[in-house]
Amino acid sequence: MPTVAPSQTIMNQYLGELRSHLRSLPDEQAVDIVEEIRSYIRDIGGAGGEVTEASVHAALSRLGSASTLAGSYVTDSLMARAQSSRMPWTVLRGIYRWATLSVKGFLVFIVCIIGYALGGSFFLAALAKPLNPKVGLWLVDTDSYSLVLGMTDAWPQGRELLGWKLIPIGLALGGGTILLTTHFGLSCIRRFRQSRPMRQWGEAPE
Amino acid sequence: MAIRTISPPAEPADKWEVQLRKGCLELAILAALWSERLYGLEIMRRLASGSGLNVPEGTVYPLLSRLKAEGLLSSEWVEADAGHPRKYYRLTAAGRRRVVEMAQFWKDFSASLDGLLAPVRKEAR
Repeated sequence: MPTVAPSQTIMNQYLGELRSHLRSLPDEQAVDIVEEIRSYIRDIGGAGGEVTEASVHAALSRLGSASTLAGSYVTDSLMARAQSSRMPWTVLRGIYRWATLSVKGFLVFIVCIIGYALGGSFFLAALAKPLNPKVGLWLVDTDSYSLVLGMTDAWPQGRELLGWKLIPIGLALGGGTILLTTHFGLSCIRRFRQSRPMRQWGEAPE
Repeated sequence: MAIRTISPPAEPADKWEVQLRKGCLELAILAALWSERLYGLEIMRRLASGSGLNVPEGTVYPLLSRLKAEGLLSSEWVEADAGHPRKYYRLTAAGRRRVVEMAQFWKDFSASLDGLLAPVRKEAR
């Protein structure tokens, strides 16, 4: 039975780990990345592509951990998809990835979640109004005044403020808030991507 | 010939240098590919010998992937003498336009900054 050299085992383990961390990318792209890194490790091995344990360790120490390396590709891919699609879902997905990397990303993520939740609520309320007229913006007088966007039955002491105007106002406010949030998210993503090479380089503290 | 490499500073105090190098990395990679196609390791060696930028692999490979996704680079797998295939990068037409624009900006900016720096250099002598 043929034996596998330890250098090959170490290299294949690293590449297997890299591949598993790249699973969110399209197959073709992930395979291309893994093969490029394999080629690099062989290049470090010297003429003839003969890899030794020492050369593999040297290459892997320069590459960094498989999860960090894969993370750089995945993050950039998600950000690029967000920028090209400009859809709230892909923007939020890209920013969620950023949120797992830094406090700044987390704060941007929170702002976007609030923006989309607010915009989505207005939008849904406007769409639901023709189906159920009880849906509205209610001023509820309990211990203190509060504004409630929803159905009336739970708050018999409430007063509806907008009536049928909820439909145009809800659509405008909802759409506007979603657009503004997307614009904000994309502008943060653009700045993040511009500063990214150096952050990966490990020099730029946030 | 001794090659002076510029490695990342240990302290974040040199933030200005960090930002400067950050801005140059993309230009340096595109410029390295101006006259010929190169594979990843060659690009890194070219950066180190030509501009002193000693950039780790974990930065360069994802950045090459991004520049390709942006349409500034194209890539092709080539069976090499080394016994294994290598992924070569070359500038696309958009990449060539981009590097020309960046080089022009760099030249203009550097010339105007030099004017400001002249009295500083004179004083520092």
